Amino acid sequence: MSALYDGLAYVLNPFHFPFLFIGVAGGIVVGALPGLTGSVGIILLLPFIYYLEPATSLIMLSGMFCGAIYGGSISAILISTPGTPSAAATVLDGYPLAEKGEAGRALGVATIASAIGGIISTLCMIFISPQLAQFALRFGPEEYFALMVFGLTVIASVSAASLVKGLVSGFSGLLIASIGLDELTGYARFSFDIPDLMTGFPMLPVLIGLFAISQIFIELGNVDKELKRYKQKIKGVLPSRQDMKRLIKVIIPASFLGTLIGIIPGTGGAIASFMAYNEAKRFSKDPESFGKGNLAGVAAPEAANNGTTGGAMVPLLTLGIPGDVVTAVMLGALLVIGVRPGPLLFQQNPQIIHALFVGFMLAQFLILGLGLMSVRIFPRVLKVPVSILFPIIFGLCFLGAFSLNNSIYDMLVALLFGIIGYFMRKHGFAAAPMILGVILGPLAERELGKALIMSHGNWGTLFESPIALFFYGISALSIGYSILRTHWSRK
Amino acid sequence: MGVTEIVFGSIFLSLSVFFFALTFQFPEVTIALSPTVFPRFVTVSLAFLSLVLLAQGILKRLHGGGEKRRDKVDRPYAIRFVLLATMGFVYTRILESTGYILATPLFIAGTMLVFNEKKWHRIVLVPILTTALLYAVFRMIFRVPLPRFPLW
Repeated sequence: MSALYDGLAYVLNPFHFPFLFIGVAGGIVVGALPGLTGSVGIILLLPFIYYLEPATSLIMLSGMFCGAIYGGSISAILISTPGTPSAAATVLDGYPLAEKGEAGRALGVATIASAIGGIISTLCMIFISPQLAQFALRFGPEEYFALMVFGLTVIASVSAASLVKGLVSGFSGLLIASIGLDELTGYARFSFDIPDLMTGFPMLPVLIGLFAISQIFIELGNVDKELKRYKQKIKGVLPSRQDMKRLIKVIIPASFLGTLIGIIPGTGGAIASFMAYNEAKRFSKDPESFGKGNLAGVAAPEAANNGTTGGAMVPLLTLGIPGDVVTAVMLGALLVIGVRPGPLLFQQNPQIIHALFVGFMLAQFLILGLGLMSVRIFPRVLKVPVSILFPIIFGLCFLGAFSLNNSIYDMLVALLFGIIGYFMRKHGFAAAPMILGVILGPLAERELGKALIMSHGNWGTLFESPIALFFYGISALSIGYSILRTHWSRK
Repeated sequence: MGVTEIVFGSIFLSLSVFFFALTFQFPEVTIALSPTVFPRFVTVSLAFLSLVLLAQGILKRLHGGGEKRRDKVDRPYAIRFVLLATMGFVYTRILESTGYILATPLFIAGTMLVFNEKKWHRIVLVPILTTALLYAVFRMIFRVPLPRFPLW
């Protein structure tokens, strides 16, 4: 408990708290703007957090993560365009409420539900993570390799419409990761005697290119398209006591559902919010009103998608494997700032973990405060012209790519991967699997190398540990489920 | 129908064959993990997946034989894309010789024009203010050695 007090003192320090505040506020704006997601927001933060203390960076990233998931509901409710994929279910009842002139009520409920979902999931994260990390301390290279294999199966889950295209994208990421120095032998693979290629492609510019610059190219298609505008006056933000009494019965179970789904790698906020919406409808006394402006149809998905935030952090922090696209980018971000998630982080840098726990909790209260106070500003945020927003982001992307190594070559890498990412995304190859390949590939190879060195080259060692076999088993199940899901979706 | 799968399948197949062939130039190490193992596993898997993609594309074409659906190239969009990519490339090339303070406002202003911004006061003010802000944060606070004009 005293460690959490230390974490609280750290986060509330006047030199640290503003970064959490900026993270949450920036996250809300990024989430609200269609075209920008939490992943892009985290990538845009990277050049700034690189110069901060790891714990401060981590709380800023957490603020961005939670804020962006909540921010997605704003455009979903006001203009029927989900700011992030997690907010897609919120459109179903949020927009009909806005059309009736009750946007204030919908936004108020979304804010309260998001904060409660976030608080419940943070509490779960605080209680579950240390236990899981304690268990993971038993892991050796064999178990870690199996774990990385499991992490890579997330590629299948985040493969959007086509499993084959997702896998192609993921294996391309693994191929990109194999360029440069081999850690065990020091041999520069696929470097073509180009000095810059000898260390491989730097991760930050690759992330910036694949997620942020490719998005800027995609946004060129919206140049002459006007976003819908919400013109009515926003009023009556706070829900009545009767409303809250009714909605809390939906919010609490949806928050737990979201947390549970968040913990399972390969799921994410979009699945959680639709599941919570369906459950809320199924248990409602008035299911016909769903889709026509029922407040429970806003509360359930918002509690669930913010519930996934703390849940998704559990496998990331304790095992070092990402649960979804945003946490994959978060993992990349942590590696860039020199923080390697996993059980050793709990043992060696507990102060970072405790600051993160407290920062995550305070982020939920900031969402509540900022959300309720700035409801009337939201329609103005959505008016930011594309012609101003994306040129600024483009400039920031280049500066971010440059700033890490002070290298023009890194800027070129970012541009190159922006173009590659654009063509791939345009033709149905999701960028997320490629990122997973780039991030997890080297980690998997490193653990495999360690396992083989310790066993004097005996490959059988990979299949001797029951924990490793368990991870291979669930990897097979994960891939099988993805294949079945693709099959069902075709039907 | 299926053109995307055929084109991308062919590109990835060629890339995986090319990179697989290159692994034969790597030194073989008998202790622990050879530097060839991981890239060979990845390139073989990628080649297999590319073949599946290619087969999917061919099947789509065969089944949709009579159908002549061709996506029209959106010319203004394509021009904007090429312009933006070229401007990005030129920006990275001139940055060292002109310096951050000179090159960045021009780059942002150019990008705004590509995004069809018509209000001239925005085209002047936004790039200057953005560059000033980014310069202040990165150069003055974070001490990032941003490229400077050689005569300054």
